[in-house]
Amino acid sequence: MSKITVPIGPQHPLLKEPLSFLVSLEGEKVMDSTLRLGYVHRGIEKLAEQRTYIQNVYLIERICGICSHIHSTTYCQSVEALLNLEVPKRGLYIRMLLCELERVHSHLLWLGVLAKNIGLNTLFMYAWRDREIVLKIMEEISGGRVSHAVNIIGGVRVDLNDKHLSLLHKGLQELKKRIEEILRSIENDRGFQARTRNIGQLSLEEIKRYCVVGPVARASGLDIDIRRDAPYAAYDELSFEVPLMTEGDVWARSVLRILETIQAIRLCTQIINNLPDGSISVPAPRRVPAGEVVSRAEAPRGEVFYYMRSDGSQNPARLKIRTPTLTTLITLPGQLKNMQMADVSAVIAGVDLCIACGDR
Amino acid sequence: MNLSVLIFKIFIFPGFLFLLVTALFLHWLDRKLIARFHGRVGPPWYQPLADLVKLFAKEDILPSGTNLIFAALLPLISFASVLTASFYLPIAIQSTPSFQGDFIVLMFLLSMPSLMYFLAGWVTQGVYSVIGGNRSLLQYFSYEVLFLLAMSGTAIASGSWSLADIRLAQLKEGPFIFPQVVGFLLSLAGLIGKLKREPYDIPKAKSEVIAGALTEFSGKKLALWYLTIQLQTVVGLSFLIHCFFSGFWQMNTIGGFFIFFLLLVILQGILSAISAIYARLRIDQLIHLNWNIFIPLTLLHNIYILLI
Amino acid sequence: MNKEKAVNKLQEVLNLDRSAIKKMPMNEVEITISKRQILLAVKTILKSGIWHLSAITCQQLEDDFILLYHFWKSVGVTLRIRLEENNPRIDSVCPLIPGAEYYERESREMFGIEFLGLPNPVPLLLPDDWQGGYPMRKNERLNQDKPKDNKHKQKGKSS
Repeated sequence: MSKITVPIGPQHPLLKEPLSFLVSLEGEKVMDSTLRLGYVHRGIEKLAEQRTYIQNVYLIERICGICSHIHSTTYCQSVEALLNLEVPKRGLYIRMLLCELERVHSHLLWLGVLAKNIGLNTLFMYAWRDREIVLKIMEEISGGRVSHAVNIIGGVRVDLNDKHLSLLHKGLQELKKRIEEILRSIENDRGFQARTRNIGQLSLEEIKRYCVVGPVARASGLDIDIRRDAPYAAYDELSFEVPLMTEGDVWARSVLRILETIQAIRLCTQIINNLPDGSISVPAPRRVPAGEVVSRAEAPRGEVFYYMRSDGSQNPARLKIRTPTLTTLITLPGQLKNMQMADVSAVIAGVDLCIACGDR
Repeated sequence: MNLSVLIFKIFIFPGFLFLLVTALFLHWLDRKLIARFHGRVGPPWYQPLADLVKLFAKEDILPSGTNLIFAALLPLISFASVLTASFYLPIAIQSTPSFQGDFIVLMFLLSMPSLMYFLAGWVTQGVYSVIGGNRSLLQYFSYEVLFLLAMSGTAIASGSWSLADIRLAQLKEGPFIFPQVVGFLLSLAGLIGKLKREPYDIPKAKSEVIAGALTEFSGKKLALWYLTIQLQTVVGLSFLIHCFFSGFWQMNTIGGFFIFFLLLVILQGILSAISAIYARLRIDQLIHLNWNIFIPLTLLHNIYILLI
Repeated sequence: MNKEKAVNKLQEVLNLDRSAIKKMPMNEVEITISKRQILLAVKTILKSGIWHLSAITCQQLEDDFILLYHFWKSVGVTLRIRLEENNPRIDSVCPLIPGAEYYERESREMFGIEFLGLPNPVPLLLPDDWQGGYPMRKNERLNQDKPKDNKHKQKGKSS
């Protein structure tokens, strides 16, 4: 059997963003693989040091398209911690609403990508059709389908009126029905299961050693969720479950993400039913007192980590961002050892990469 | 028959032009049905023709080091073999010259495109082309056998390897579909494998090998390849209709033509539904399915046909 | 509580005094250690039940480098290490925590810190043939020159 090196990327129909993945095959079996990042590296951390805190809110949103709101939420949280600002409850609730809507959007997008990569185009079309409901809601609230620019330091900039609330009620009900249908259809689909069961397995030990976070870790049995363990932005006032599975393969990750989507819809319903009154933001001073702060949040892909140091001027002295995709990328070559070529697409899709986040 | 009638039959009806129009129509039907299964609108009726015209206008480039003569010959040979196959098949219920063994000749001609596809992967020497070509060869060895064995049930039942005799046997005993439903379904599975449609489209799986053996082709050559695949669908389905449904009509009649066309549309609908419902199978799952389940079933079925 | 346990254990194992332990906003705690103690400190933290390393931050503070190892288990424990500007070398923690590889590679290429024992010392985000030095260091300016006047090149010819 001859040895072939198949380049997956930087441009490849499998990947949504450029990533160089060289897979060496012998016949149909994967022998080895190497990973190379950096194709979308924009130097966000250095750029952040050259801009003021307010300009950085708009810079940070552009790290990633799918998890833009959660990045700006974490950033604003760190600045507000340094300023000792308390954001009014209504503002926090609106932030959480958009975080959860983004989670639904991200998981539906990922489901479509996984289905397309294993050849089940019908599921891809259905998932992305349901995603349109979420995008319409987000556009009504914030004016943008994917990039919202809702966060400001000290709160949010948009408010929800009755028209938004009724649209949300209808949309969330519709979504809940459709996602439960998708879950039922996947559980009965032998073709989908044949392509995803026992593929790309990660044990709990490996998860701990590589410090993996997010749905990939929860699918292998690690019970870790920042919203529940270290609540930020009023998550301690809402009740939700954190789904957990133990198989650790692509199938477990799929089912887990769909269950998380259902929980996210449940959270959204709670938010709009219990929306407190009041203002949505407090004014924030331009200069931030010197200090250091670490803040974390639960992005759709796991724990996003921000470290900020301020030296009293208008620009941050250091902003360090660690996105969850980096943790899952380390595990990819190990997952692919001794797999078949056809499973590479299922594994890469199952890990839910967001390379723009990883490269910054 | 005189020359002008012959030319009409070869080039217009039921020859080249009719085949082309039917192929484009069935291709459009396939895309429209799959789109409707997906919840989309689907392309307008002229889309396949527009795609062909666009491809003919594109630049034709190949990687350096490709043997240009072979790269041009392969699509021509596949196209020619599918058209020649249509010679012996009574498409649209027009009678055709038939002889002993033309069943086997037809099988051989219909399998040429798959072989040419594999060679196309080797000739263009890209990584994706070679992998796609290798996979297609593996699928070729499995599903051509299935197609041949399953269709042979009809030849066994009629006692001869000639298409005309198969038809005569059905006129006497009724269409073969009723005692041989299992054989029909298995030959349909074989046809899906031959045509490399979903769920058996692993040789050209877009998410893994971009476009399989045809990755490096463009322009007129790619247009010929697409046309071959679409024509193969028409000829393959007509073959199936002839062997299993021939008892329903008389040759050279308008009514027969309509029944034939209706059956074509229904079978294409079944193929599109199967494409929309199932996920793509991995190559080892494909081979396992074929050799462990389909082939034994076919052998049992043929023995049963032999005995009754 | 894991945090208290870890902090106390670190204090006794590494012989730290009170001033090395600092409380940070958002319920975090920061412990300053010397660079020779890094492997021992990481072993102690792992033994006290905290195994999740969120990130390794590197920054420059008055020309010296500061490395921060951020651990987390319901609450955050951060190790702070100061490296001299002319000798930025430290042991790699990859043998203990394989997941630290990407963070150390990024600090290495962006700041020039030498991690002894790093398994795969190739650049993570910068190109393989990068000649521009260490981008995140303070004395590196961003190339903010305006692009040259390309009007003569816009007539459809490629340069």
